[in-house]
Amino acid sequence: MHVVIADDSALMRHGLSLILSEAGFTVDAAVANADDLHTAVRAHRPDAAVIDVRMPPTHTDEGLRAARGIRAECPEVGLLLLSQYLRVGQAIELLDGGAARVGYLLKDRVAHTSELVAALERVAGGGTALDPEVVAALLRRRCLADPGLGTLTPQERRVLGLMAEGLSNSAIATTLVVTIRTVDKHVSAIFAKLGLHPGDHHHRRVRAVLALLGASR
Amino acid sequence: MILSVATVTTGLLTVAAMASRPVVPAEATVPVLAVGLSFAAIGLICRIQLGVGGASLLIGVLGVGWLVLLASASAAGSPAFGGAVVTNVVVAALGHLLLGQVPSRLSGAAGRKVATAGYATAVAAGLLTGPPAARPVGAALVALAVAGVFAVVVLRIRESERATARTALPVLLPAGVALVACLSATLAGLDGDPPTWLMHSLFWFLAVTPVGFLIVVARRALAQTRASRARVLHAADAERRRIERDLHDGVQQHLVSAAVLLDLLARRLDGTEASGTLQKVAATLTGARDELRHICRRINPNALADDGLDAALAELVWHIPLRVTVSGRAGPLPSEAASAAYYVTAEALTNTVKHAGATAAHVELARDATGLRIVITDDGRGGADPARGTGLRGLTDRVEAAGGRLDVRDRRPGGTVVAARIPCTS
Repeated sequence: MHVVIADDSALMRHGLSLILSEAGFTVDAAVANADDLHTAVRAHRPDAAVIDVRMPPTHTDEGLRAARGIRAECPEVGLLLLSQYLRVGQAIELLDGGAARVGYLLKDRVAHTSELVAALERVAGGGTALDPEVVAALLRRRCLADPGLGTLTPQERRVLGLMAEGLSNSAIATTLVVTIRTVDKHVSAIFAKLGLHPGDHHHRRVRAVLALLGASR
Repeated sequence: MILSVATVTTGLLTVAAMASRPVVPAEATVPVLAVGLSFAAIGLICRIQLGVGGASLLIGVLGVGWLVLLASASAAGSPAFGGAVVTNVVVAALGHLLLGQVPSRLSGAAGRKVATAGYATAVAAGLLTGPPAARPVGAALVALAVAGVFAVVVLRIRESERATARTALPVLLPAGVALVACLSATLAGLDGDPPTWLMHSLFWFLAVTPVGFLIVVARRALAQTRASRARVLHAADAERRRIERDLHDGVQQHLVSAAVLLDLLARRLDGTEASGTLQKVAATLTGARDELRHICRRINPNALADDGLDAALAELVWHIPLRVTVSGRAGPLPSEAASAAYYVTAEALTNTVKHAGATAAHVELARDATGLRIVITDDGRGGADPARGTGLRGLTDRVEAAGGRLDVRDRRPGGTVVAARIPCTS
C-alpha cells in the first residue's frame, strides 16, 4: 500500500516513515508543507496520505485545508489527519465532505503503532478512523439532542462508539472482551434503533458516523 | 486596623465632647457634628475601601486637631488668642502633611509653598484674634494664603493626574466653595467673636476640601487597582499558557514515549503471562494521557489562540455535557477581551452543569462598535450568587479587569442569566 506523509516536524516525518515502512507500507514521499503535499499526491497517487493538521506558514489548519483540496482533486486517496490538539470542530469539518476515506487521530495515538497502522488501512480501504475523543463528543451531543438514543443500552452505546471510530466487529469484540456473535447482535440492535438499514460491512460503519453527525447539527 | 479604630474613636470623641460641653455655641452644633463624623467616615473609607494607610492616618490626626480646636473654641472665657494660634499652627502643619501626601508628588517645591502658605495662615489667625487694628491685615493674609494653597494644589493635581477640567472638578469645586467661605467668614467675623468665626472658616476648610482630595485619591486608587488587577490577570494568563506548554510538550510527550516503549514490550511479550498486566498498564497510561489532555484544554484552549473566540466557543460546547446553542458572532477581538469572554462562558456553563440541574443553555453574542456583550442563560433552578464561591467572583474580577461588567441574576420562570459586557473597539 502506498502512502505520502506530510508533517513539518522532521522527527515526526522520519518516525512515521519508519513505522509505516516496517508495517509493510511503501512511503512514496515525506514532505513538510501543504504545497509539497499536493505535488506529491499528484505525482504518486498514493492509497492514503498521513497529514499533520498544523503546518507552515500559520500552523493552524493548513493540513485540513490541504486535505479538502486533495479530496476534491483525487477523491480516491484516503486521508488520515493527525492533530497535536483535539479539535472536534476540525474533525467534523473533515467529515462534512463525507465520512468515507477519512480519519482524524490525535498524534498521541501514534504511540500505538498497531492503532496507527489499523487506522491507515481502514482509511485507505474506504472506511473511517476517528479518535475516540471525537466519537465521545459526537455521542454526547447525539444523546443530548435525541433522547431516543437513550433506548440504546450502555453496551450498545460503547459498540456504536467503537464502530464510529472505525473498528471492525472483530476488533470491537477484542476491545470489549466479548464474542463476535455478541457484537453482531449489538450492531443489529443499534441499526434497528437508529433506523438504519443493514448494508455491507464498510458502509455500515461509515453510516454509523453519519448517523451521529446527522444529529449534531 | 489601628488607624481605622483611631479614626472611629476620633469621630465618637467629637460627638462625646459635644455632649459633655454645652458651651459649644448652638449654631456650631451641626458643623461640629458633621466634621467629627466625616472624619470617621472618610478615615474608614480610606482604610477599608482603598487601603490607603497614610491618608487614613492623616484623617485621624486631623480629627484630633479638630478636637483641639473644638476644646479651645468652646472654653468659655478662655484666652482664645493662644488657643487659636496653637490650633492654627497644628492645622497648618496637618494641611502641609495632607497636601504633601495627596498626591505624593506634591512634596518638594510645591509642598514647601503650601507649607509656607499654611504657616502664614496660622500667623494671620493670630493677628486676627489679636488687637482689632491688626485684624484687616490678618484677614488679607488668610485670604492670600488660602488662595495660594488652592492654586498650587489645583495646578499640581492637574499636572500630576493629567486631569481635565472635568475630572479636576471634585477638587476645584470644594476648593472654590472653601475659598469663598473662608473669605466671607473671615470678613464677617472681623466684628464678631473670634473663636466662633474661626471655627466656621476652619469648618469649611477642613470639612469640604479633604473630600475633594479624597475623591481624587479614590479615583487614582481605583485606577491603580484596576491596572494592577489587569496586570495580575495578564501574568496569570501567561503562566497558564506556560504551564499548558510544559504539560503538553513535556509530561505528555514523556507519556507518549512510555506508551511507545510499552507497545514494543507488549509485542515482544505477546502471549505470555505478563501481557495481561501490560494491557492494564497501557490502559492506565492512556487514561493518564486523556486526563492530561483535558487539563491542558481547560487551562489553555488552543482554539482560542489559533482561531479566536467564535471557534473556541464552538469547540467548547462540544465538551460540555449539556445541550448548548450559540447565536451571534464576536468576530476578531483583542486577546484580553477574547479570553475574558471565553472564560466567562466556560465557567458559566460549567456551573450550569454542576449546580443548575438544567437541560439546556444558550450563549448569545452581540458585537457593536464599543464592545462585546455575551449572555449565557440556562433553564435550571437558578440561585447563583457571586458573593458565594470563588468561581463567579473570579469571573467578575476578570471582566472588570478588562474594563467590563458582569451581571448574574435569576430568570423567571427559572434559570440563571450571566451577562457580561466587555469593552473593545473594533
